[in-house]
Amino acid sequence: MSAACQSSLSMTESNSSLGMSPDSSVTLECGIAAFGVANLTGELLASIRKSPEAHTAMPLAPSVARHCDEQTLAALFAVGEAMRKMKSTTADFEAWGIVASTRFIGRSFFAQSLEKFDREGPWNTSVQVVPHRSLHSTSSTISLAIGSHGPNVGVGGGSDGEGQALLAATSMLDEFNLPGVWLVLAGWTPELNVDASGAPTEECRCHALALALKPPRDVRGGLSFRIVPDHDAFEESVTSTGNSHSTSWLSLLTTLLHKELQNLNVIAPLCDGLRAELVWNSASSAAHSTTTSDQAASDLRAAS
Amino acid sequence: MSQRPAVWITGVGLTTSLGHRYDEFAENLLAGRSGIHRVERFNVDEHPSQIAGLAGDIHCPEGDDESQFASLLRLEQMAHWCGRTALSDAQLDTHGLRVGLILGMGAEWMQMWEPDRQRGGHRLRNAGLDDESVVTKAQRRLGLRGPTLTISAACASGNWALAEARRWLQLGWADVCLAGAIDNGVSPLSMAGFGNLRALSRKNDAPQAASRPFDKHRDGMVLGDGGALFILERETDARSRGVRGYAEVAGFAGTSDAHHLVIPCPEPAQGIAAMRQALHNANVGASEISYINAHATSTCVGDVGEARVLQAVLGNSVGDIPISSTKSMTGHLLSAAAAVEAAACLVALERQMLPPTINLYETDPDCAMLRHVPHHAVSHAVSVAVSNSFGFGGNNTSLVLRAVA
Repeated sequence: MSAACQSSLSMTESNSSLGMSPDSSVTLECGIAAFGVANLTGELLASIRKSPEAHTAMPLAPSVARHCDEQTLAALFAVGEAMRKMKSTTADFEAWGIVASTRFIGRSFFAQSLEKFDREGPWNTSVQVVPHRSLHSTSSTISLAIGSHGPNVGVGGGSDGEGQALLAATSMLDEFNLPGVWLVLAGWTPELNVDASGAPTEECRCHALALALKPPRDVRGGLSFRIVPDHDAFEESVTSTGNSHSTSWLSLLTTLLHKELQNLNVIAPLCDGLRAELVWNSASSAAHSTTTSDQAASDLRAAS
Repeated sequence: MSQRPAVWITGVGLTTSLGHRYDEFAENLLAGRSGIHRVERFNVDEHPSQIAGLAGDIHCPEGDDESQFASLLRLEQMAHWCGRTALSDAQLDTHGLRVGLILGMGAEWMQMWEPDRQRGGHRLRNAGLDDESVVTKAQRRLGLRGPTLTISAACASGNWALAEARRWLQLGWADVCLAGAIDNGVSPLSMAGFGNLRALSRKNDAPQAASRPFDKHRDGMVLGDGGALFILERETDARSRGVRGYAEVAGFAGTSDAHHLVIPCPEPAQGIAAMRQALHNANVGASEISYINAHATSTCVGDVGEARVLQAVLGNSVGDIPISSTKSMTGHLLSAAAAVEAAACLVALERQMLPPTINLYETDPDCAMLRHVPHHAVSHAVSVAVSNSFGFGGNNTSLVLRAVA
């Protein structure tokens, strides 16, 4: 963690008369020790649901997997893949934290549940809606599956939540002095639309990306990301730019890591006053070019 | 950072079954009034549990467009009311400030889809209609700029929101934060789901006696809705502005049971760890605690588990430190529970009075080692308050609030 830039408080008259002083802002950095990706059809999701341990190498009971949301299954698959790359077992993550960001979790099951409620009334309503379709359900299920006793939270939840997960994960890793944090992003492509019975109206794939984050000192090489205070951008912007920046971090990070585009560093706004920097830490002296998220998206499409 | 700056709470906005203003909430809390009634907002005749602590109609803040406010879904109204009143309470003009906005919400989309469908909407089926999240809309309506976050740790979400806000302020990522939690969890489907889990009290004939944490005759929790948002700022900034500090957010910790998604671990090692780590984070010894707002939801398993946590952490002080569960009056506000209970701790710190556990007539023998505050508020010197919040998914959190001089 390094002090990177100074912020200056800009107060209105009613506040400024009270003489707030400038305060230092801090850049946080995480190293990505490993990553796992899921890109799952309905058929594969059904297979994971039936035999979770065979697909994830985690001792999750089928009785739990049976009720999991599809995004949770994809998240478990991605974490399992990252664990395999790290040649680790679940025991190695006992003290890790977990931050999981899903998009519109439970849409299909919730539609089914409401239809059933209309038909059959409250006594036949499933007890699985709340435990498995809440924002924290994915992080909690990962915690259960790997036996992690570190903190676990769900973050975001909508189409604008992936950047929030980067904030929460870096902050968690720093605040609690953890050995690592699992950052998991999940969602449907295309976004899931359902009919009255909750069935998807078109073929969709469930995606997830799991990043094993560690303090930078514990990771050699590879991609790291930084959360950087961007006070100048905040000062320059007269009106809110909002926090729903169009960057799809799931897609961007997946492509960067999967294709090992090591000549590409990316700088992208996260929200008013903060930006993310994705930086390759390579032992080689290969030149890196730095680009914005929009340009990166274009470059990545070309690379694909 | 070698020395992390202290962070104060300088404003409160809330909406609960005990009131929509901090003072009203404080008076009802200390009077030991129950906010729990039979649900009238929708038909509950066929539900296992038919009672809840509802906040009622959410008020439109003075000066805002009432027709526009009425068009919002209830969860959006809660965010706006709590945010606006918290900003006003802190006498804060946010122009030019980076205001972090952190909302604890565990089931945002379900709580948008269900009422939207009741209104004849199609958001649930058509993803294209789910354009923005509540936090983004709230940020725009409140005219704020800065980082945002929606966070969920089930019933512990409010504690997480306050902790994250403190961290952002310490990192200099925001100048001020508006943080807390809201929940609109009293809906037909939610009441049915929790009811079928057998988590809810079925004392439908005696709503105000139904939520009875630590009592031998408890039979489950009672749902509630509402929430609380707080203004947090660095102590130096609050002092410079000359505003009232309700409390310092002094410590926090969170752990996971990794045991079961719904049932608390019978060996509450992680609950104990969370509370110990939070005290360590606040640099507070167990014997220095003046008051504990327990998570105690009025379920058989959960209350006993928490009593064991308290016994392990407090040791010889377990019979000395007063403990109450304000869910006996508010019901369980799910994602928003911890935020409202943080507000209850502020009341204890500010008024030097302990809110009671009502309906505690015959203490469960397994919880008898605790020093309860039954029925009536009592005067007590309070300098350090601890709020425990545990939740589905095995989430354990503890928040330490300290009086400011």
